[in-house]
Amino acid sequence: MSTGVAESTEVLCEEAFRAHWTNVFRVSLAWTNDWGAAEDIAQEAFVRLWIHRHQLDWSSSVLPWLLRAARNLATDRFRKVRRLMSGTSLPSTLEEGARDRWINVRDSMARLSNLERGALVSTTVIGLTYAEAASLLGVTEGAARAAVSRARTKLEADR
Amino acid sequence: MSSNAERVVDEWRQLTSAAPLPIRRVSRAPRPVARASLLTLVVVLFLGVALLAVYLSQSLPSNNATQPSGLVGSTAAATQSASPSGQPRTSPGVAPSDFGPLERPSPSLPSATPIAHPTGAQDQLLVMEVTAGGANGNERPPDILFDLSGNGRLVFRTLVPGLTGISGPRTAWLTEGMVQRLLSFVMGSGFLDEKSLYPFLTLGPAGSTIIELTVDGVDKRVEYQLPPGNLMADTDPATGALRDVAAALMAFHPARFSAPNPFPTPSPSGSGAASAGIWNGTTVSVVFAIDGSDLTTLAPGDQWYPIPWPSPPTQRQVIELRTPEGFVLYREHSTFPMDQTIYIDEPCGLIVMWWGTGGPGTGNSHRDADSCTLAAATASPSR
Repeated sequence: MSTGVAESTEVLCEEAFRAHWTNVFRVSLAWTNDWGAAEDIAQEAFVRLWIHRHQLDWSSSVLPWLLRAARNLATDRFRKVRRLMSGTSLPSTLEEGARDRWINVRDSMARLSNLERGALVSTTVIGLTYAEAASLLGVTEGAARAAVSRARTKLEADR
Repeated sequence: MSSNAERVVDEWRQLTSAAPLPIRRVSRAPRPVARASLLTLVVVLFLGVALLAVYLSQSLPSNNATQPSGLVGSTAAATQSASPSGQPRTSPGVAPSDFGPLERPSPSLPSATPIAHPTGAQDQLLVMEVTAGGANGNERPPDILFDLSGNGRLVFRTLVPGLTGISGPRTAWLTEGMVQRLLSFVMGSGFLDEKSLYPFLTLGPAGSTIIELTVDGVDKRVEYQLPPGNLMADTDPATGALRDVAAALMAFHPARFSAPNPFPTPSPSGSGAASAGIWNGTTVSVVFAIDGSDLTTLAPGDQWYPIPWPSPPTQRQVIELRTPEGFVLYREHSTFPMDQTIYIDEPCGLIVMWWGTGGPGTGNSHRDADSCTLAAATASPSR
């Protein structure tokens, strides 16, 4: 690969990071409900993007690739250790006031399943369609819709 | 959307929108106040760790015999180079082309004020020897050998990457073969392979492992990538004997390593897939890839400080050890935004990693980068 092409993919990686970090982090956070883990997962997703930058098709958005990578990383990370988890990490990168707010939100979101959080965040925060969210989460579109509905119901009951 | 659900989602959206990037650049010279705060934090954490150790020793009697005194340390983020499908690679090695052509030492490397080794660090260094396993065929990961170059305790512990609250001594079980390999290594006549390391690795994500060791309060971390498979396959608790290994390791004395290097020297061609010897007598380049784009090969005589902190994801540093031919012997990732000093002294296959000044109980302080320091160096061939 020529130096010019290599440099261009590096620039594309940087641009992708700036453009997509928030949403990749959000998907990671939705799945884990753990701020620190979500940061790690999101960062790892971008590391993977970097590693595979030469193989990616940059003519289209890499956001779906990143979201899928983050989702897979989150699943891998917690599949084996979920039973051992005794707590979640607090966001050291948030200011104290925001940290308290996060704790409240986290506790509310903890009432939802991973799928429900993922579906809710993907559709209402990130703006994916139900079909896109379903693809990301590995479920049918109907299941994604149902998960969002259940999430809303649970949150509403959490007054 | 109903009102409460909407409120929660809006709050979630705001918080995640305002969230700063995960790791901040940290000043090399923290202010006195910061130092005092850090000291306080370390003291508080240390006391907490001590209490936790007491608790564990009382509540987990079955683990007592298998673990040294409880030490809880930093939580590390796991990494693995794999496809987005989540499947790990079959080898930690990557083609040199992944990080571009091997570069020779650059005369433009910053040569700012030389930084002395941290006080007492030489007495606490963990020597990590990287074998030539793996090779270009990616048939197996390189062996990573450990010994202790100074007096001190050696405490094995595994942490779940990226998680907090579940760190601490953990029961691990070894088969007789693993015990023999560990003991032979401790006695200076063997080497550790992935089978020997399995018991320490079982909580890591598939294909990726974090090995953490604490020596006299200094934390070291090595990431070791394993091929996919059931890491628990041969760690039957019925035959576990970690207590013996722990005792042997804790009884280790550096004098045992005064004997000539027992390991064979592999071919310097870089194709020594079948060789189990250390890469000795050959210059091993330390390649730091910051964001992958800031790739610098360090060579003996170089000192490199500081590593500039670019914006994420460039915080992610990748450390590779390469032969002159570009063969990747070892690879390590880190998300730690640490102050870093790299020492490259002599051409040799011994790589010394010095990790962390936070001492035991640094908890999730990998985000409190003031507490961490990383120095990597090649060590003297004579030991």
